[in-house]
Amino acid sequence: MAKNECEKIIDLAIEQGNTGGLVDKHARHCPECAAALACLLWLKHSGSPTAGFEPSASYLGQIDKKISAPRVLASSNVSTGIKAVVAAFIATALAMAIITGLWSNNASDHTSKNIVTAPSALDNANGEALTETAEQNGKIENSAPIMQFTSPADDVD
Amino acid sequence: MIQRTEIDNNELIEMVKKGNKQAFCQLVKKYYSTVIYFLLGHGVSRSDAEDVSQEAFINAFTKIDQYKSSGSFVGWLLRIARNQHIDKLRKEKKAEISVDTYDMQEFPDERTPESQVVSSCGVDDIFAGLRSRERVILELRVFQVLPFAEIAELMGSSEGNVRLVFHRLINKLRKLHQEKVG
Repeated sequence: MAKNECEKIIDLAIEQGNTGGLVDKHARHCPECAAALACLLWLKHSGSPTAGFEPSASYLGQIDKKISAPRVLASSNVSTGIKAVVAAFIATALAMAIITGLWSNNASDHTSKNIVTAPSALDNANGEALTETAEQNGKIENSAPIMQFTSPADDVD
Repeated sequence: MIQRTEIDNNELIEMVKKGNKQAFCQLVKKYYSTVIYFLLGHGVSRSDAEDVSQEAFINAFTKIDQYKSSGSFVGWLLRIARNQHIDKLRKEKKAEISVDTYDMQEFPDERTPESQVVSSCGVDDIFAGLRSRERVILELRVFQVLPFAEIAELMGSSEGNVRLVFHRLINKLRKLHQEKVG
């Protein structure tokens, strides 16, 4: 029998058990595999080589003590806690960014309106129709007290 | 049989995720020997293996939410134990080698000359005659039914190498068994 085929049969027997006819069929014609399968069965019945190791009571007690400690219990919830804090922080930052954005947008709209109207006011100095803002500005200018000083040029002969 | 074990494991893990410490103790009892055996196979002394395995179990408890039931629990647990062992080595600055680059052929053979002479009395004698790496591979493959790829990752070797060692081991055991039987 091919070596690879024998190895596949052993793997199949370990992973799926000796359930399929494929393993039985192969073992009937391959004495080496039949012996290996018998050996595996014997090993399984004998138990794991690790069976001799058992945790002592003090070992289990120490683990129980450590996993009961608040630090460990807290750290088991740390990831959940961190996620909640990060989510809250992001939400707050996002809300603040939106509010700041809206506020600055309003402010810039107001400024740009003034900037746009300013040249139109200058244009209106040439006799064109005044904008509402310019009219208001004019009213303010008219209502403001006018201070008059004698010009130094008046003294010049 | 294997499926039933997995269901039991999943039930226990779900209970641990809900904070059941008794269920976790069941898992510790179940996998203690495998973790200790695995660490001994990496050349860790028995007392160090106790400490490392204890830290690994505590780590597993705190990270149990990260375990996905699609993978094998024992493989996940052994990866934690291996990382714990590497961390310990780094902290103690005992060695600068990484387990990932550990060549399986260089595993220490801690057998006494007496134990190297394999008697034909029983299974314990056969196991005593095996090298530590062989015992670990046997445990992980035959008793924990881990795939070769996962064993290779845990042992810091290639899949092909582990496959080769395992099938050589099976041949060796077959011959020993045949001698014993008749």
